[in-house]
Amino acid sequence: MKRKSGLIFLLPVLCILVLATTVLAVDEPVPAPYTGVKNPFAWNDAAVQTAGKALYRKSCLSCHGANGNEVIEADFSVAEYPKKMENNPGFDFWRLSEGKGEMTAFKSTLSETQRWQVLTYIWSLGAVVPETPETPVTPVTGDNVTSNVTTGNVGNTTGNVTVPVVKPPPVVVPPTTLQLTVPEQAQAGQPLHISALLLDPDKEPIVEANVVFSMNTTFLGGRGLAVIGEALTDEKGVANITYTPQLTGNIPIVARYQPDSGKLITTIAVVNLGTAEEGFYETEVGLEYQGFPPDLVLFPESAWQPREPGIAPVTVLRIPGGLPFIPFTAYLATVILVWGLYVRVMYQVLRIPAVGKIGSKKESNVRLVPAVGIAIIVLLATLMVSVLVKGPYSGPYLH
Amino acid sequence: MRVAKAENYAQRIEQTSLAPMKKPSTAYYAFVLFLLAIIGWGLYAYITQLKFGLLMTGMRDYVSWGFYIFSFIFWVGASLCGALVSAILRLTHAHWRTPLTRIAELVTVASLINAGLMISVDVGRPDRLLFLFAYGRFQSPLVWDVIGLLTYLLGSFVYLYLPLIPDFALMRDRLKGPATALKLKIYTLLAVGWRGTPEQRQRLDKAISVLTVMIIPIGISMHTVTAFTLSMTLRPGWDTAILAPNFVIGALFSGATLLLVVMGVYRKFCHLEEYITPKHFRYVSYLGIVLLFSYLYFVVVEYLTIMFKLRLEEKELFTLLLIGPAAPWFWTFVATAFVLPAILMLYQRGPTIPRLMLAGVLVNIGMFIKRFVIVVPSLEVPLMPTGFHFFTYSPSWVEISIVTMGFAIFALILTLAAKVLPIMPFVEMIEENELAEHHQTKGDVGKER
Repeated sequence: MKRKSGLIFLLPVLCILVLATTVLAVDEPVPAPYTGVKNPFAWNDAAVQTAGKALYRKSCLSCHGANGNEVIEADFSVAEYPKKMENNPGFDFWRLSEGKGEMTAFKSTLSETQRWQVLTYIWSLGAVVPETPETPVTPVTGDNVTSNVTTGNVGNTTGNVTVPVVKPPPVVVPPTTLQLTVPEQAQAGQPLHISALLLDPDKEPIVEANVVFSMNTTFLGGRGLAVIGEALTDEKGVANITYTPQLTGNIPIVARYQPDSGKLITTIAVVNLGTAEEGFYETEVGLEYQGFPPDLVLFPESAWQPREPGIAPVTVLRIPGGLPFIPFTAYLATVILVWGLYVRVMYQVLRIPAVGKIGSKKESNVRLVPAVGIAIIVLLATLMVSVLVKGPYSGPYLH
Repeated sequence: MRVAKAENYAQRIEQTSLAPMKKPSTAYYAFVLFLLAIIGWGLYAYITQLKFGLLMTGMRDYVSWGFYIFSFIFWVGASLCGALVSAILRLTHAHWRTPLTRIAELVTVASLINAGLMISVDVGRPDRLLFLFAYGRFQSPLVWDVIGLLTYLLGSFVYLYLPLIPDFALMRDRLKGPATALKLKIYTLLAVGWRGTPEQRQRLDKAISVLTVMIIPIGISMHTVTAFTLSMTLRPGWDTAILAPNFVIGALFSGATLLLVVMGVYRKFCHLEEYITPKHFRYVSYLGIVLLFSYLYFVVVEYLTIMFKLRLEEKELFTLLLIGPAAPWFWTFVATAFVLPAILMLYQRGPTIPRLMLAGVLVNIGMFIKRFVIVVPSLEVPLMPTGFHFFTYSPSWVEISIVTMGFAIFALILTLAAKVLPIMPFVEMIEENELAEHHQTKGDVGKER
């Protein structure tokens, strides 16, 4: 059981964990009930894919993204993925059913048919023919110092790095070339020099052209390109920026140039950013401890259902167990004590008229002020205690 | 002094205290109108903000906390004034504070109302404010802040109200002629049938002493959780364990010095020269000096421990703060919060009251700037891997108008309070005077109570 209180800070770490666990898992043999199972539907059955798409949007989209490319190590948008699924459908069915690491198990929430529908839809993500099939694009490699030269449109509207479908490069001489040079290895937290060389079809440098550099990054659980700088090319056609990255791992760097007319030119190169001596904001949200007392969570059945993005989670009653039980109960007890003392103070005021001799008629309402005071105190105290003991939780965050 | 004029003391203090309630002058109404005009302008600015959203402010996605938030921290700090003067000095039986308690408690309540206002204004969609209660969860420091604010606000209201009960009773009895029927009815309600019997006295004393002990930790916790909203993040400059105690000391400092200003103003306009004397100003300024050096100590410790190690992002912060674009503000803070007030409070030359009031004004200007220095430059240090290194923030006219409205509301609450409440706990003062007189007649001369 992991505390979810600092979820925001944990998400980047989770993503790294997801990558790590998935990498390790790829070659694992499929265990017994899932060995050799086959998709009951045809992979290209459009009706099944439509049904699967609805399920995907509900259950998978928040992590894997609309294009299926947001978890790099389970990237459904590459052409290899559908091939892998055709060869070994049991593996994906197993993963979907049982989960692994941060991948949720869907055995209890999706029926077997539904799971196959989802997988059929996922197959279609990678098998889709690119919109501009004539556009040559460069495959991303992990170790290139200077990447291949490319022309064409890989930038899409969402700004994600779409790892392109590998196709044999057409024998067309690219009209304009953009070469991106990054060090193979660099240190996070240290300045990183990035340069791009922009040449026109005659291999002459293009000067005074604006090149925009971006970096693939993870933030708040989302992934996308963040602009890290832009520069004008000099007389040699070279645009330079210096940027201090604060991320670690294999990070794609993207250079883009938009000519006055024609298509956007994009080049990708990958830099391996080593961990600096000091980690960058790698935080955990609590100690891993599953002990006494147990978590007390009372919730309606509907809380198990993953929610659509933008829909508030279900409010449930929760008293955390384990170590957080101590600060939680201390806090709750303090709030109750303080507001209880407020009631006691007001009660003293309420008793004031009782001991004094109340004379004239017009003083008959002397208890009104303390009585209203007590009512307000009790109301506010109830509100605060309710805020503390309940909270919005749903799906995987229930435990 | 009190003993010497004892024969008329009770009557005179009663007269002085009730005077503003009887016949407010034209100047009073003019001042109230002036404040209402500022508030009106602020409301117009707020309606503009409601109409077009937070886009009307200088806040953007990088610097998402601005003028409202550091005003909020300023007002929370000012609110510790009441806890300090009333509760701490009450607990230590420092009887010289009696004429100041009501003023300090009023400052607390008025500041907290402003603090709540600034938070509400900062919420771009006030219709979603209730979501905090519907969807808040205990892990969130913002929820702690709201709970802390409500708890302290309610406690301060009650703490202001309880010592007022005997005064309300006196007003119920004395104001029959000049007060209107409605006013009299309200005073009767608020006086809860007070007759000053020993049993009533005992109950009230018990209630007040419970609250006196409570209000200090509540006040401290209020400012601690305010600091937590910042220091529970990994932002450079906020990510430090000392931030919460630093806020508490800073708040006591600005609260005590704000009291110097407010009591000076009340003294002048409510003619309290006899009761609030240079001695009171001196005593409060002694507190101010102690707090100034405590706060200086905390600030030095905080900056030294961070700057000695100087991690990457903190280097950017301190470049910005000490020699970069925020440097003028930072050094103004050092001058107005530390250097000048220290000189004014330590070198006791010239007229006491204007000198110490000036020190109070300077400290509060400095502390207002300090809250800017805490909040904004930290947000201007980039943490996202993105190319633009400095996102500068400057408040828009909407923010300036609304924050000015906050100051006008503060002044208005204190101005109206002078009209409807006795600005000093005169029943308590008369009783203390009688006691002192009693001691004197028994030959207990010279013993300061």
